[in-house]
Amino acid sequence: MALIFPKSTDQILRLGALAAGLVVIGGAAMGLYVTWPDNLKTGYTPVQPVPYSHKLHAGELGMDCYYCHYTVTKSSYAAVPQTEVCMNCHVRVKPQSPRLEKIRDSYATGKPVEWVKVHKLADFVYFNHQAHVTVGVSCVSCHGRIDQMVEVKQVKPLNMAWCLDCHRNPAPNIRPVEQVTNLAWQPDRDPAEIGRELITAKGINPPQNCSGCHR
Amino acid sequence: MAQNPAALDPHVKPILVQGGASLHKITDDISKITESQTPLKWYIAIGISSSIALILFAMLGWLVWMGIGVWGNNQPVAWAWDITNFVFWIGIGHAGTLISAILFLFRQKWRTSINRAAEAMTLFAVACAGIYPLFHTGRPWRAAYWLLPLPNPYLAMWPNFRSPLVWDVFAVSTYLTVSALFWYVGLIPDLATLRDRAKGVRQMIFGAASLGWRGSARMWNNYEKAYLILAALSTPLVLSVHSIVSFDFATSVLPGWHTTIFPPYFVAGAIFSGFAMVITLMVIARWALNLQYLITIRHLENMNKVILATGTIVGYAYATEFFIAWYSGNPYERFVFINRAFGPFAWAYWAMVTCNVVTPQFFWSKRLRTNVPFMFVLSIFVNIGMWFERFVIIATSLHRDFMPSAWGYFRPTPVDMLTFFGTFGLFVTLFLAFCRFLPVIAVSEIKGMMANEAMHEAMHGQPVNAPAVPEVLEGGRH
Amino acid sequence: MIQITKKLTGKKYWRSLDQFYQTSEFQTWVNREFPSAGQDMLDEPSRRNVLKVMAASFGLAGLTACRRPVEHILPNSKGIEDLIPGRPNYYNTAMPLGGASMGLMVEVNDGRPTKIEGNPNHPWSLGRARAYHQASILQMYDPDRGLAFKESGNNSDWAKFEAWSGSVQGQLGDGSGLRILSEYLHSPSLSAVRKHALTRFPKAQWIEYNAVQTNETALPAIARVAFDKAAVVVALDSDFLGLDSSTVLPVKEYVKGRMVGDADETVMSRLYTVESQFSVTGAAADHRFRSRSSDIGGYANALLAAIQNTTSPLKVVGQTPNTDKAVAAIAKDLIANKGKSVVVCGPRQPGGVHAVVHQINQALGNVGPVVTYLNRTSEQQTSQVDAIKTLAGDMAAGRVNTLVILSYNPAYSAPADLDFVANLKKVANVIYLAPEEDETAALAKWQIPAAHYLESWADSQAPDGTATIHQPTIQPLYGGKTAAELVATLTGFKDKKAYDIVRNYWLPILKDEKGWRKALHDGMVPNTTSTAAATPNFAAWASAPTPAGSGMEVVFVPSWSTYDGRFNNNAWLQEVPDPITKVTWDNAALVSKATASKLGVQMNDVISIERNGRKVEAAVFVQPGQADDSITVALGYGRTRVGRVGEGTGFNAYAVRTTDVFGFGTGFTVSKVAGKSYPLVQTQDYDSQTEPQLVSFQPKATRPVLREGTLAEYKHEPNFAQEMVETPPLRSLYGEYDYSRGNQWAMAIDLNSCIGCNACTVACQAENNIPVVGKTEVARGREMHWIRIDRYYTGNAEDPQAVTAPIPCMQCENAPCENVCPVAATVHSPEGLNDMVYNRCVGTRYCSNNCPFKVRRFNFLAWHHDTKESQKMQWNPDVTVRMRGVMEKCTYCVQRIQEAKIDAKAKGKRWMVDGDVTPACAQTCPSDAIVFGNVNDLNSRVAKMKLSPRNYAMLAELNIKPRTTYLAKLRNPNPELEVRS
Repeated sequence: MALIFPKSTDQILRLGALAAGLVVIGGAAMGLYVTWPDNLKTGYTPVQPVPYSHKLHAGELGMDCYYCHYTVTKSSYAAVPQTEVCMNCHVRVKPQSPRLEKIRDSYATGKPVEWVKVHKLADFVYFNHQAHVTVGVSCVSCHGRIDQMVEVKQVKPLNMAWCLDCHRNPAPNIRPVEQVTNLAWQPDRDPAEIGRELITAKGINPPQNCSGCHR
Repeated sequence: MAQNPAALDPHVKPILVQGGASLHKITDDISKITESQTPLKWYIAIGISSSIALILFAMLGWLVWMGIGVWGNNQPVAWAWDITNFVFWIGIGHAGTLISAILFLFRQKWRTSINRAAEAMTLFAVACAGIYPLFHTGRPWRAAYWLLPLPNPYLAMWPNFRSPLVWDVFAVSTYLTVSALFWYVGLIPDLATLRDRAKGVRQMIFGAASLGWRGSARMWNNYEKAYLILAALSTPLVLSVHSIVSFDFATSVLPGWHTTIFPPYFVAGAIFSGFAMVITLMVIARWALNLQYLITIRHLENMNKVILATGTIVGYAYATEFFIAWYSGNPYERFVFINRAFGPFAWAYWAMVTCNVVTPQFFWSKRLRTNVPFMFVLSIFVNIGMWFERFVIIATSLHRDFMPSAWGYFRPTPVDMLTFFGTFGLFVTLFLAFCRFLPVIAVSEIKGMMANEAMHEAMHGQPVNAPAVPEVLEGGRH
Repeated sequence: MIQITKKLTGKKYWRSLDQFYQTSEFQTWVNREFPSAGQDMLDEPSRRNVLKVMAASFGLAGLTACRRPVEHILPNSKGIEDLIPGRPNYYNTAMPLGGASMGLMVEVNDGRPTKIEGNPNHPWSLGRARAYHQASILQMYDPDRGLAFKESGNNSDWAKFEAWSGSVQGQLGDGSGLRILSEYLHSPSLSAVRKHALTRFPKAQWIEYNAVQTNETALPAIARVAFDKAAVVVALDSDFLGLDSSTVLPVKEYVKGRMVGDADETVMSRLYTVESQFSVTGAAADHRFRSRSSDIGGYANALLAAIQNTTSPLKVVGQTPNTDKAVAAIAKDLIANKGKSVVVCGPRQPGGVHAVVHQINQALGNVGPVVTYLNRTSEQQTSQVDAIKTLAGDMAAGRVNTLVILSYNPAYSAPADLDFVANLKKVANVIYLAPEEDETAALAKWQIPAAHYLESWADSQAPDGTATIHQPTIQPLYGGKTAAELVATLTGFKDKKAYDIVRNYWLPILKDEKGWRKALHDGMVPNTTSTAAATPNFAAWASAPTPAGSGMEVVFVPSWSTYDGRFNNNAWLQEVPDPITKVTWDNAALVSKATASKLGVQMNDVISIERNGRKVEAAVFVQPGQADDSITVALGYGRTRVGRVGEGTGFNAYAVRTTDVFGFGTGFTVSKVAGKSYPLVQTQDYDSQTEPQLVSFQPKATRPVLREGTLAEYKHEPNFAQEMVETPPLRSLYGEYDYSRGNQWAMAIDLNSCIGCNACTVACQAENNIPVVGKTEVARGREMHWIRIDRYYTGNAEDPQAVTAPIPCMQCENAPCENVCPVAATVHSPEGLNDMVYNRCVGTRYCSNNCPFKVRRFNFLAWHHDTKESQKMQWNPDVTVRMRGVMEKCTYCVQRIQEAKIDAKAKGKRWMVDGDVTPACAQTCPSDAIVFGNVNDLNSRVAKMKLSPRNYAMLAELNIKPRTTYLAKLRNPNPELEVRS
């Protein structure tokens, strides 16, 4: 009987199948790459109401993180400082600078400055700064070299798998507590080694069970 | 077309193909169903069934929007109609594979005229069942992929492989895949037949669908091998699927669930309900499509025998449960079973016993076994009974377990009922579509079987239902 | 949803509210947007407006980055002393209720009071609080409470009222037309204002009236009973563990007297109760006798006679040989324990009966060693009922032109025969300090919003005079005022502001600022506790004993949920079931089986209770153990003008409560209302209509879930509880985890102490953001309480004994729920907790099916959708708010455990000991029944309790290894009376 499809059909089918396969695989790879935490979550750099430069204050002026974020050792929040704290210096330093307009207003009116949140975790995650800072996890481990950023930018994915990496192997991220805010810390020997010593010394044992972070 | 009265007369010794139909006639009749102009009654039927199916989707939408609370589920009865219906449909899905695979391996020739429809039914039933495991969860949009073992760069978490629900996912999806393959491979020669009879677009479609089947001896040889292999693959599945479904209950601590008898008991029950559903559908189909001479009384009778056997096994299982409960001396265990028979859900329990244990016993009588209207009614009873079996196991065990203070009761809501009703709509719609567009009967196999019988007659005039030479060794059928 | 709630509960939301409420532009905005009142802004129907507010306050106005919505951080402009963001502050204050002040400690998160605990320093609280106190915080955030100042229906404000009162002062003259109606006075500063008012207006009168009488308010002198010193306690119609006192001290002392030690040297007090309704005291009793409240007088006289070997002037109506036997046995027991026994009598009973009881105690020499009498802080001599009677008379006669109402909602709660509503209309100037838009507010000329105690400067005294200064924990959300402020302004007191009134009263007493601060900090004013006063002259009360009326009796009791009606709009209390009946969201007419059949009614039928033309229809609840011919009805339901929560709950018993049957009385005609029925809803025994026997009576032998025995049995066989169930050695399919190291959390619950008072349930609800589901959903069996209280009856259906037990998640070491979860949303922590991870849960509910205790709770619907925005301010920021479709359950307050561990780690400490962590239930348990701790620390209380021979694990035969174990209950029956099993 007559052919319904020309002979070439088989060939076309084979090629078609091959193409389809490639498209699927490629698409999957692409999708995975785009949504991969490191690519999707990092790089967020919102514009702040006040052009505050961490590079200037923490970097060049060498102010300690604790000066403004004084609650990190006492509380789960690393509270953004009250306007008061800014004014401690800025009543004398650049008292007229137009860039500090909002700060002065806030100080006068009592209305808060609306800083934009950069590092966000889901609401069911109870990250606690106190717990980390007091055992010697440095700011840099999660926030990167803030002291080199003019505008603060998220550099770590901050997803659960990423958290667990450190909770399973904390050694590389544990340092002497006094070095926590020293973002440029470069020990003379392997930091992980120092970390291991501290872990044994302090009996550090980060939780890997759910209720460690989810309540 | 020519009607053979003997087809309906049980006193004529039933044979597999009646009225001495020629091979050509069979091809013709089966193909015509798909070729002839669509009858009005079909439109009416599918109109009704598909609108019922729409109710299902509406209800599911409402469920996802509002939450499980639109159903009657509560504490302590956290599973109710949802899982009941899941197990019910999965059970029905058993007959197909059993008929096509196991009966095939056992060389039961009578399977040939019903296996195609039975397999189709299996697929559709499993599709209906598949709805529940997903939609009974509180957050289906998460359950949809958190239950699958996919690598997750965000959480780096796997499913809990200790959980029977995860086993379910594997069991059911495997079952669906294999049965679908098996069904399709079986279809290929017939699709080719349709292709050869068709013109234009229709020919293109069937041409593509039949994957260039030419019916050469070599092709037949490979085909039979493939068919055999698939049969061998799906045979264990028939047993595994429902065993694993039964683990959902058997592995728990709940009195009434925590029972080692469940796997065999569930499989028997599944075959029981599956065959009942095949009867229900075949009785209608053979009447609607005038296939009495292909789906003969003998086919139906054989299935009724299976129903009788499995029904009795199920009844035995019920008895064993009670005995073990008493024998265990465990007060909680004992209470559950007393509570089943005499507690608030006693009505459900006795409905189950009546439908599943009592009614099949009628099939001891050949007269009833071969009485079409009777078996139709009875098959429906069995299906009702099997639904109640699952409901009794799930609801009555849950509503009164260890702590009397936490005892409750279950009342279904309209949403419960409409959702279940809707699944029937989906099921029937799919089946109607199948009847309309695909050969409802495995033409090639029938023809093979007939040719082989004819040969025997010719050779030594044995009665038609003589033991057959294995079909797989049979050569040219074209 | 979680997303949104977090933003709303964050400190930002509170601060915005704060600003809004203070600034006038907010008020104007509110009035512009909502003519009615401010609360609409905090209201579900106007969510759009809430979003507007949020937008205005912390810029969520649709700013969305490409990747995620922009969130803002709003630091304070200026620092606030001792405020560390993310850290709670605690303030001591007190809650006045039923004439008693309970010292409380309030947790404040970022300016939002979120949780209430008892004040450990306070002698009547001892660090514990009861359900009412726990729930009072929800009262403050109740959006339906929100009130506007109103003058004869029109919006007004405080300034206008000040002006008005200035003008009215002149017209008041000598004050002969001025009446001030308050509740039992136990506030020194308010008393000072009162003194001023009565000197400024000599003819004015100050009336005190509480709709619910308590041990503190009913008598001319407050009986201070040291239950721990009594070897035999006889409670005559007295629910001293439950509703007859709102303080914790009596419970603590009673439980102290029942403490079980080693088998041989255990000494336990013995409790007899004679009562009409089944009270929690009756449930705790060793012997409970059913009797109509009307016959209690008979019992008292009979006892007195038996003790004095005279014959009783009174017969107990329907007296049976059983009664004589009981009386004789009790008398004998009392005589045997002279000087260390006590007879107490409930506040419902008339003075005559109290006088007799006093005679008994004197005859037994218990006055002094066990019973002492305290002076009332109030100066009102006549009984409260007489006082309000006189007031109503004056109003009717038109002798009153100005009435200041400081007490709770008299238009609703005053005795029915006083026609208070009608009389209020006769008074020209009714000034009502309104806690909510209620029945009385509707009739007042001036509606002045009352400040909640958490919002106000005030003070109050415990029954023994111990004074506490209330300090506000938040600015008044609805601009409310305190009673002192109102009266001060009206009568021209020297100080007008609440703060000045309180401070200027106390500063002289406290000497200096330092003293003042210390008093605030401690939550107590030093040296205010009065020493025992002289014995009051009960003889004056000893009216000739009046024989009890026969026939059907009705007894009026406060409600476990609504008290006298003031908590009627409080969802937590509405949903928490009555400890004995387990009925929720309604009150009912409790009748015994016999009475029910006499009336020809069953559960959920409706009866009409009628007396002198006054009538109320109520749903019937057949209560085992209820006295025959006695109907108990709880007050505080059937409100006609109340918020959305209370609307349409229960029936109003006040309608038939007249001055002559204030506590109880006979002469009621009770009849079935044909063809009417009213579905009551219970959290236990859902299907008790079908088989009450099977459901709520636990067959001890076959189902030893709760285990109890007698003291004798215990002494003879200390391990009786453990030996009730025997199992072969149990092995787990999966390997056992080694829990021998590190902190291992565990709980022990002493059934011998639990009185089933609901405090733990409500405390848990407050701590863990647990939603309320409402009556219809409870009827479906979907209530969300993480810790429920089981009540089982034992014995016969007519006259059973009851036992109660709190049931939280047992944190099984081999938890059945964990294996079956397909997504590992519930897993075990190395410290033995059964973690529940809401954000991982997909809601298969398999865990709940496999939980033998059925303590898991599922969010069948989005329960929190109708949590009002203002109530979200109460939410605990340390606990995730669960969305629809996920399972939730008790986790031993894991948020508290984690916080404590983190604090300890910061101090380089990892080993936790008692006191470091306490879950909400254990912290508030008034009877100390719930004990929690680190079981690996052998010095911890929990570890010690688990060594007790009474210690057993529920359903241990399943090899689930629960971390929560129970200590069997012991009863100490009198061998002379037959022991009910």
